[in-house]
Amino acid sequence: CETILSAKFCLLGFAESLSVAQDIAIKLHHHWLFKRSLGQALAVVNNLVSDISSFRLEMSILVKGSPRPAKSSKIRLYGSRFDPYSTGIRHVMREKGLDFENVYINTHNKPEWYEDVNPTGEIPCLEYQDEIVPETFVIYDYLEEKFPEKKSQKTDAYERSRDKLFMTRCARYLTPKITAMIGKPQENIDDVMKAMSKVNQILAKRATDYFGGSSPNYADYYLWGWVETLSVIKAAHGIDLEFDKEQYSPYWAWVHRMDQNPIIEKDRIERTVNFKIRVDFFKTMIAGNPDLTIGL
Amino acid sequence: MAFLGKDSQRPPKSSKPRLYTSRFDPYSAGIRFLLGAKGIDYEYVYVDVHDKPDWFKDVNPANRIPTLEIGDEIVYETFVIYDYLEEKYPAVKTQPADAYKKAKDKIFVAHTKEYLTTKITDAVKNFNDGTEAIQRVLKIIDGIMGERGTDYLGGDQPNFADFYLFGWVELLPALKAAHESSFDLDRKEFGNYFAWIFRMDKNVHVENDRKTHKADLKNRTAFFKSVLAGSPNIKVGL
Repeated sequence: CETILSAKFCLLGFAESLSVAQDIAIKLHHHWLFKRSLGQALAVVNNLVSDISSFRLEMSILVKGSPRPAKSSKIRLYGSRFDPYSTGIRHVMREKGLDFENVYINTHNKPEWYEDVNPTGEIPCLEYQDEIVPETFVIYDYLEEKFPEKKSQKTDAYERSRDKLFMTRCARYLTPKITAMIGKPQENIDDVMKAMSKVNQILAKRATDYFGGSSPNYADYYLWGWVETLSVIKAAHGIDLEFDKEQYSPYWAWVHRMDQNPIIEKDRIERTVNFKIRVDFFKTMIAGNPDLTIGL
Repeated sequence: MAFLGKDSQRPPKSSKPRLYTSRFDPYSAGIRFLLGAKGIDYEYVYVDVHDKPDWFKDVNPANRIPTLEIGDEIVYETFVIYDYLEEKYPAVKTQPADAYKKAKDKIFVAHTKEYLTTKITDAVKNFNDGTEAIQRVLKIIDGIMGERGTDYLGGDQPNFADFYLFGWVELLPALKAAHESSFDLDRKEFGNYFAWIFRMDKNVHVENDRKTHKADLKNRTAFFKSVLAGSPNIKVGL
């Protein structure tokens, strides 16, 4: 396994084209797998080539004029490295152990073919085999029903309704205000603080480590994308305002747990995003010239 | 039937599911049709939304209808209610079983909410200014219905998407009459949509709802006329 991984990164660094990488991969695996069946060898090679394709895809941001990527056998998420909606969905897919690839769309300069994927032109949008699913909340439910082995939602009807209600109200009162802070920080900070106070109250009332209970579920991952974005936008604007440590102690405890979450950390590494890179990106957003390639 | 306003008392707990609603509310309408379709024995309470009782915030902190109350479980937000009912009462299905088909219906309903319902709400006060925009969205809906090629969005039977949409478009003839507008959609150009309207108009759960709440075209029109006059009369026609 480690041989494959190092071979993959080696090839990506030095291979001039995908086909060259494929050739090398086939030779490497033929050599490594000479004792195994041809079928197994081909399967491993196909996986490696697919991983290389995904990896290469994820190193670019697709814009007007970019060719449409070929169909994939994997789950594909059209999204962005800095978009909190895409981020939450990626966390849930990892939590569910799903094999997926990212296609990064520059929504400020969309490829022409993207409207065939999603007519509204928005991200995130999920594509699995011939099924295309836009709309964040619909994507979460689709993933849960399509891949039910590892649950990311509760099973009791009423508890499910409480999580859905929570997310619906975040989408109405919290997330649009966080987005509005990009352009108008001072005008929106009070509404954001008010909404986060409610979030803190709800967490305190549930009295569990996570919204999901003893482990994070989709509501935790959904919110986390936005909490992360809020701290980045504040830093990009140089706003010092912070939630009181005592009054917001359930919230801070939750933030601390989520920060340590290995799934979240894995996303940061694979997307090559950290706090500084996010802040730098949002600075370009604020300046009116979003640079989605920052950190790549 | 009591209309609960500021001077009312909170009704005692019920053993049946209870829907807090109002006669002409389009969000409630879809849910009432669905409750009928699922064969759920429930009771309803009219909340006077123009004079909300103080106790209603204890039922729903968001202070909105429709709100569903089943024992200690209180559910609000239209889409959340649809999903909750589907899971709580699985005997009669009102959502597709296939994950992708269900996703497509959920997207349809989400887009209807975003692109149509806001325009219809605006049209309550300003009907003539809004008809062009409404027409454009209905054209898209007509197209989707044509593509699906079935009697209803739900196939052979109406499902939650049909009930949700109908609760809203039911307002249009009443608004047109209340505003004395000559606005009309071309029956051929909107062929799929009109065929669907014709079927939904005759749906047993829609008819039952109109009978129960005396919410027919005449009363709905009179209600919107009273809204335009600045004096909403929720008891109109009773």
